[in-house]
Amino acid sequence: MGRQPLGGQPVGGLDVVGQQMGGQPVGRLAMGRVTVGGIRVRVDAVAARVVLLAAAHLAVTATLNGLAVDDSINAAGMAKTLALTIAFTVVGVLPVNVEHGRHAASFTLVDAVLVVGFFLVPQPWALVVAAAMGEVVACAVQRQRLIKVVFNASAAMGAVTLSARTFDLLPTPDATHPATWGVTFVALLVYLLLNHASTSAVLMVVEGRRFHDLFLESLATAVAATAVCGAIGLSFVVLYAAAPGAPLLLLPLGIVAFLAFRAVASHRSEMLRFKRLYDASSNTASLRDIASTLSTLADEARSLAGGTIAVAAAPDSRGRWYGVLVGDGFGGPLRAETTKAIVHEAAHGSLEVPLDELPAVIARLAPGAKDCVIASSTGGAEAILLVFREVNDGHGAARADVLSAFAAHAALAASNSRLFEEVEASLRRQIDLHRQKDEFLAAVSHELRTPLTGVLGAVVSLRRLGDRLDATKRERLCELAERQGIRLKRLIEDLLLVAAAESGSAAIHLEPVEIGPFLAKVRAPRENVAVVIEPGAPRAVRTDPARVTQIVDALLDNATKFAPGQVEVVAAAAVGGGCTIAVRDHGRGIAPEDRERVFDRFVQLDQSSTRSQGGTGMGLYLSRQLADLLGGVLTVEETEGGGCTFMLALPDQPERAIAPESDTSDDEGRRVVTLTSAATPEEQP
Amino acid sequence: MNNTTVRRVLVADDDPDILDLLTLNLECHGYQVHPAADGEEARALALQLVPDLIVLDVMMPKLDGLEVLAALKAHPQTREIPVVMLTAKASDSDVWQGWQAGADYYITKPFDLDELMRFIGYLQVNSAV
Repeated sequence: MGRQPLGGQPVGGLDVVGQQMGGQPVGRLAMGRVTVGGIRVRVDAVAARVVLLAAAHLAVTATLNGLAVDDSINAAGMAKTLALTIAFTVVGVLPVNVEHGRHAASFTLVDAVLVVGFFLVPQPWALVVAAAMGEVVACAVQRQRLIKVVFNASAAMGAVTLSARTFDLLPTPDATHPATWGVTFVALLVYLLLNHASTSAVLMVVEGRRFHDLFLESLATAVAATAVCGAIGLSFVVLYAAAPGAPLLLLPLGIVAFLAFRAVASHRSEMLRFKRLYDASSNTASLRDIASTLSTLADEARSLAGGTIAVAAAPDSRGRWYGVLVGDGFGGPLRAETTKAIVHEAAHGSLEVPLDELPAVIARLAPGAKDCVIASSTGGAEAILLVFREVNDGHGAARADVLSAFAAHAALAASNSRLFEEVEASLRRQIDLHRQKDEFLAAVSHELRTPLTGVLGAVVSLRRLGDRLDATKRERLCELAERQGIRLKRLIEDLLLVAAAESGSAAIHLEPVEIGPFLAKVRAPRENVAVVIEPGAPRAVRTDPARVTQIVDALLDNATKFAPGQVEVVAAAAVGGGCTIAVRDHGRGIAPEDRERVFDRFVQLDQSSTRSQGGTGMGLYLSRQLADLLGGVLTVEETEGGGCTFMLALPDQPERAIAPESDTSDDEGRRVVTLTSAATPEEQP
Repeated sequence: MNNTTVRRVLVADDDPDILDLLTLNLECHGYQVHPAADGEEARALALQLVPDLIVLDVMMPKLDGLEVLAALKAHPQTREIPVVMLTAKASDSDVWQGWQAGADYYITKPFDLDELMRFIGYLQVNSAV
């Protein structure tokens, strides 16, 4: 009796058989026949329709049997019914997996038991009860979900009722008569078609495919399976008719066949493991960023270990563990503490852990799971795979082995991803740098043109106008040429300094600088600038006085240029050591949206006054670069009551000069190399 | 060229030194020069004085040279006045933008004063005819 028809599509068939061979009943449906991956999730959405189908079966059963529940049953009949129930249960629990080439099918011997029932149990309803009970017990043993039990049992009852009724058309069954065999096969065909239709209907509901396609897809295989089962059942009945003990003669044949099937199945299962491992490795071999690689790894781990939810974790390009969870239709990165707990758990090696022995932070990821399989790679590269399983079928350890083999590949894939990310990032940096250089060159050429026009224009005018110029005008032109020449010179000096600061090659000479005298000296050539030393300000900091002078000069230039009136320079203690120097003006201030922009190259919020003051448009940009170089921070904020305050925070540098690199260790003892933010413009906020 | 009237030229540049330079040269060639320090002032002066020639810097605060040019070309009173654009932007697309906007001459900084003066003289002769 059997059925289930898995061989219609070679690949689908292999997958389905593979799951059954692994002994994993997740997703088995409809009288223990077809295994549908992922049904657990989808059945909920369609549960109502499945229940409707089951109700239809029960209605057919009740109608047909209701007309005939007139016979009573004796003790012998009861015993036979009980024996049949046990037989239905046994064959339901032990599916037979057959394969030929790339085709594979899995069926149960339910049909054979049904044939025996036709002959041994005269009351159809007793046969129906036996089949339904057998189905329920078999499902219970396999821990199927309730909805599957209900559907399978109802489908069995409907199909058995109809086929038994068909068989009853035979007035006097004679097991030894070929005509009886014919009727038996007709009855079995009725059973087959009904059962196949039920299975196709439920698959249609669950998978959303067309009934017609599903029905025809594996019909041939089902018919073949039923024919085989029918022959086996009839052999039993014929032997029983000859002598009640005769069927026992079939037992050795049965045992041999069973063992042979088992051997093939385990071989097949090994093959499938390799195939899946190979597929999983191929699927994750492409070069991508670490997050999507981990996501694919988790997905593959899921199918390798037969679970619904999986986690893949590996160190990212900064050496920090990064975990990604994948489930049916959901997934995403894990929180750092969850990943940390998984890393901790994986330290024990590859193993199977019951869910209640896991730390809560991990267990809550898959509340419905029964156990989880953890595997981590050994050796240099690192990766951890964790799969939550919904069954505890005793295959966990074997799954852990497969997962462990895959973990080595996962580690490789993760390390490729890291490499890929690093190369990509460095390429992006290069392109950025290139673009910035182009922009810089265009801007510089533009900035150089204006003073050059002044110098050239003045000199040419002196020559071409000659006698027509009086002494005053001559002097005006000379002054003009000189002024624009100086501007050109300052521009070039600033450009050189900017280039040096940007490449980090600007020399820094650290020495103790006494704040009070230092600021007094910077202030000296200016009017309207007051120096304020707040209480608590450090007496001296160790820094580069020449660079700080450049910064404060630029800030004071800027303030006096744009905010006529009193300007204060305020020194105070910085949070976390060092000292802050604030240049506070009371001018028009800067609109909030422009505050960061003033630190860009060549940005002149008010061009006319900049030019009239001979500014280069680089003072604030250069100042920020220099502040970075000194390990400090330069920001701008609003002055209370109007105007703006530029705030320079300077650290008290240690004796050692600023190193190009500093090594630190993160909390997990890994070495992290950080480049100092030596003035790369893209790192600015 | 009609020598009996003094030609009036409006010069707009936000850099006072460049403005001074142009003023000196134009005055020595006998023009009456009206300086403007930004785009808005240039547009207002042009509409008020209706000069014989306008020299406009492209990069100016408030209104840039191209905006002033567009405003002048849109006004019937100033539409016919020849305009010379000055710019420190030297890329092809910038120059093309200037011509598209209707400038009569487009010259990049640092400019050749001889060339500029020759061209201004040429424009004056043409408009006199």
